[in-house]
Amino acid sequence: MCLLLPISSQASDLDPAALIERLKKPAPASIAFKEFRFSALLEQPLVVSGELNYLAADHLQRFVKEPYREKTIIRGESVRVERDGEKLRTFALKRAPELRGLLTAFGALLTGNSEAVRKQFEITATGEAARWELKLIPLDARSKERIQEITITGAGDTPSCLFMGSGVNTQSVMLFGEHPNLIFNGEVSPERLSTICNEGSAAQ
Amino acid sequence: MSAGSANDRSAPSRRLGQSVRSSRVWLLVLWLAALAVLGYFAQRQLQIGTDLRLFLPKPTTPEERLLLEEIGEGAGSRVLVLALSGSSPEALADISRELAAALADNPAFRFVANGELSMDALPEELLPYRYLLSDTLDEHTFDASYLREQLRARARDLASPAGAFLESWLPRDPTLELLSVLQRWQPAQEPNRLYDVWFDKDGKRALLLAETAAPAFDPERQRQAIEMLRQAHGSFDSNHESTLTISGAGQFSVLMEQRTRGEAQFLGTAASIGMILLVLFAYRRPSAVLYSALPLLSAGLAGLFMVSVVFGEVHGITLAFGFTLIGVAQDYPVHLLSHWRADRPALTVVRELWPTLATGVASTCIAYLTFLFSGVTGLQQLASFTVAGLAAASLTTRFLLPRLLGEGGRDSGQSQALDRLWRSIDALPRLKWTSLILAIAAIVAISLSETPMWEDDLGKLTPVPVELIQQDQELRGALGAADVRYMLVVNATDRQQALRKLEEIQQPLEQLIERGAMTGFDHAARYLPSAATQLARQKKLPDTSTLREALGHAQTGSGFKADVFEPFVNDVQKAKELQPLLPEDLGTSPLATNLEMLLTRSDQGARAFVTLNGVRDAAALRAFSESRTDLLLLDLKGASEALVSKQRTHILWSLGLASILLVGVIALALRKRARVYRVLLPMALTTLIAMATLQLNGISLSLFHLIALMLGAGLGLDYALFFEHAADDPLEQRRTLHAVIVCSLSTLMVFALLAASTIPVLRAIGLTVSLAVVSNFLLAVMVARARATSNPSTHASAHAEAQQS
Repeated sequence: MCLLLPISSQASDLDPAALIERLKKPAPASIAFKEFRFSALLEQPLVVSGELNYLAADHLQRFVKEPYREKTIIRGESVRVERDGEKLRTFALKRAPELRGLLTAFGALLTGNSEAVRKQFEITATGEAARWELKLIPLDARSKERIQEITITGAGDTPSCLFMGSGVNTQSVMLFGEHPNLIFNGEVSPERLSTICNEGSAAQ
Repeated sequence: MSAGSANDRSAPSRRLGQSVRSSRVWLLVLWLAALAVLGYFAQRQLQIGTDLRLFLPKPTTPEERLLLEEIGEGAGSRVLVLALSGSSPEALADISRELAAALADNPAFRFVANGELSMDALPEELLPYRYLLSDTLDEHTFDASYLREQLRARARDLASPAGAFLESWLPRDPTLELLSVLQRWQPAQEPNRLYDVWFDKDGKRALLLAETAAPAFDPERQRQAIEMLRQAHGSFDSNHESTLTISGAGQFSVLMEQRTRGEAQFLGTAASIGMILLVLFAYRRPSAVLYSALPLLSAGLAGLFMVSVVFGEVHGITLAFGFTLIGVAQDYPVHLLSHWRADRPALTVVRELWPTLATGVASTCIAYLTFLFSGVTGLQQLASFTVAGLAAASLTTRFLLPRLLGEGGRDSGQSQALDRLWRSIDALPRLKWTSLILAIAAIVAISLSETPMWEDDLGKLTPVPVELIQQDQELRGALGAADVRYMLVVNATDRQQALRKLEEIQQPLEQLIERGAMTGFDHAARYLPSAATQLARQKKLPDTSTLREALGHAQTGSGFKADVFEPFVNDVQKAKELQPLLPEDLGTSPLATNLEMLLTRSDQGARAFVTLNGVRDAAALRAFSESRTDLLLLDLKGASEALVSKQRTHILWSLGLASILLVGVIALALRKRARVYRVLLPMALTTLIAMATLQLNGISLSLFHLIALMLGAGLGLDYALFFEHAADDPLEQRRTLHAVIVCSLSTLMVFALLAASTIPVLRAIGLTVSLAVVSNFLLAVMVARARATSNPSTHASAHAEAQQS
């Protein structure tokens, strides 16, 4: 049970629209996160934690607090990244489909608007109300090539994790909520993170 | 042909009449054919130029030369500012991006920039040059500690949202040298940026820059480029949510061409209709319309032919002014027609009129000929055009037109209305002291007026409405465009030396910013360092084994896998072996365009411009430029004012010489001092009155006003000559009055229409000439007409004669 990946957790199908509707939270909404960034360039995933503020449909802030401070503001089509003691960096959202996916997924979850999501993704939902999994597959070929899929897991009306990509192609895993006692012995893998997510959901 | 032949209906005389008529038809056909041939050649030969420089004197100082080069082909004049407005900033930013992408490969544009940093700005083959172009190596070396710091920052980048698109580039460029180069190439004074593209301060308009391949003064290709722009915009914004505003010299030339053409067509049609009605009313025969038009048509085509033969190209302004000035030729056939009557064959009439007509034409032509020595090409063209035109009109009126005219009709000398008019004019007091008082009043008004006598602003020479120029300046200001007045110029023996000099003055320039003399600057070395600097940077690049070792140390504990930065090591190795990048290696990349604007070849070798932003202390800049012999502070406003004033000096000298010659010719023709005085006074007085009226209305005199005053003087001279010639014969006086009324009414009508134009230049000319026509007519009637004709016997007999017929 614990070894199940989010993808393989097969159960009766849920209605995605109803699930998304249930997750609705009034903007502005804010949530703590811990992100594990995987890359072929890296020996170990990078780990940062902080807070996500969802202010409006096209306005997301991402604050990194640990292990350094960084502020990202996504507004409309533009992204700006500020880090203490470094030059401000700005770029267009179209250069980072990953980010647009994240933004859309978030927007959908918090506003309960499944129609907006359907414009960009094919949605499937599995599991049951107490422990569910929502999968978004990009419709656009270019985005699909870059991110393959976004998976969100959760329990009840609370999301617990967000996976960008899957398996060996996992780009990032984001755990929501506080995880003060999360300590890894040995290698951090998407699989182990998936387990933690499921446990987290189960605990709730 | 005598008056009697009209009543003789015998057969031989009818045959004679028929053969005369058929020879007249042949003459008309030949005349029209000759005009068609002239027109065909002129049209085939003639290139219409719109380059304003043709109307400026030859430059003598380096500043003036630069100014003229800038006006003409300077890349600055080809850059259009585009503004997108009327929608949400997000939507505008999207349209801005799509527009830039769509036009990127369009051959009509050399570059389109919207503020986005594009990784494609440096083509693949130039990528290894990033280490020589970026200034990183001036301060750092690629040692273990620098690389460790860089790798730590890159790891953080990777964990940030920017990581997604940096990831694939990192193995090749872990110090992000490309980004540093691209940032260096952004405008020195960054405009406001929203959603990654340029916006104005309020965030309401997205701004772009587009440089056309065509020079600004090529309205046809500019029009095509602008159409493509609009088309591209329309295809992204099919709902017309946003508005695209295009501004710049190119757009102005297109707009003015359209507007001038539109208005000229309307005014031309209105004037033609008015003219036809006037001629019909004055002569009560439809053929008079043709007779009065033929010499004018001949004048226009002869003028065109002359200019196309002598110059090959004709300036648009020459044409406009030229057709204005030959307007006086319209009067020649009018004099003939007004004197032509049943008992006086046209040839006899023209022989009588010729001395007067010829005096007017000759003196005007001689006056215009002085323009040939003005040193201003446009004025030389104008002189050739006008002299050829006036000569053609007068000669055709003298030799061809009378042979075309059949039998005369009603005698305008017999008109009761004109008789009454003449007598009431006669009752008017003669101006003697009054003209002196008028002259003094005008001179006092001119000298006391607070309006500057002359318009020194070169900008006012363009016919572009002020609002558009203001909008353009505002848009360029929002884009952080450079100061339009001041610019530093670096002279060097070649482009490499120029780049080195720019690098030398980099620090003093930064100090000038610190001292508050200006807020920013831009120059070529920012885009492409000198070969010397590139070589120095190259020398600081580590060799492959040193780099591998440093990288190995730096990577420990960085989290990055070993060997992932092999592409970086490869690029550094390539950079180490490169020949420095030279201006000529850049091809047609956006970089080449930037460089071309700021670094040009000149007669002396090379010239680099340092554009300045927010100049607050010109004196400090001047002091700095004077501290180096190779540096020049270019004051474009000062240079252009000097140029305009020089142009005016040229024109005024020509005019002075023209006046002297004119007086000489008139004196030679009229011989008596009193006659010369009567003929010249109206014209001189009118010029003074027109100038005073303009000054009192707050109008400074420009080239356009001078041309208009010249036309006015030419008309005045003719009016006065004819009135003076009319002498004591009442019938002749009435015919002359008829002719001059038709002449002045037709001219007044045309120029009053021009005065109603929305185009400032046409308005200036229209107003001035209308004023001159009225004043000249009144003065000619009151001053030039022969001494009081109150001799009762002459008067009575004339009256009797009128009654008899």
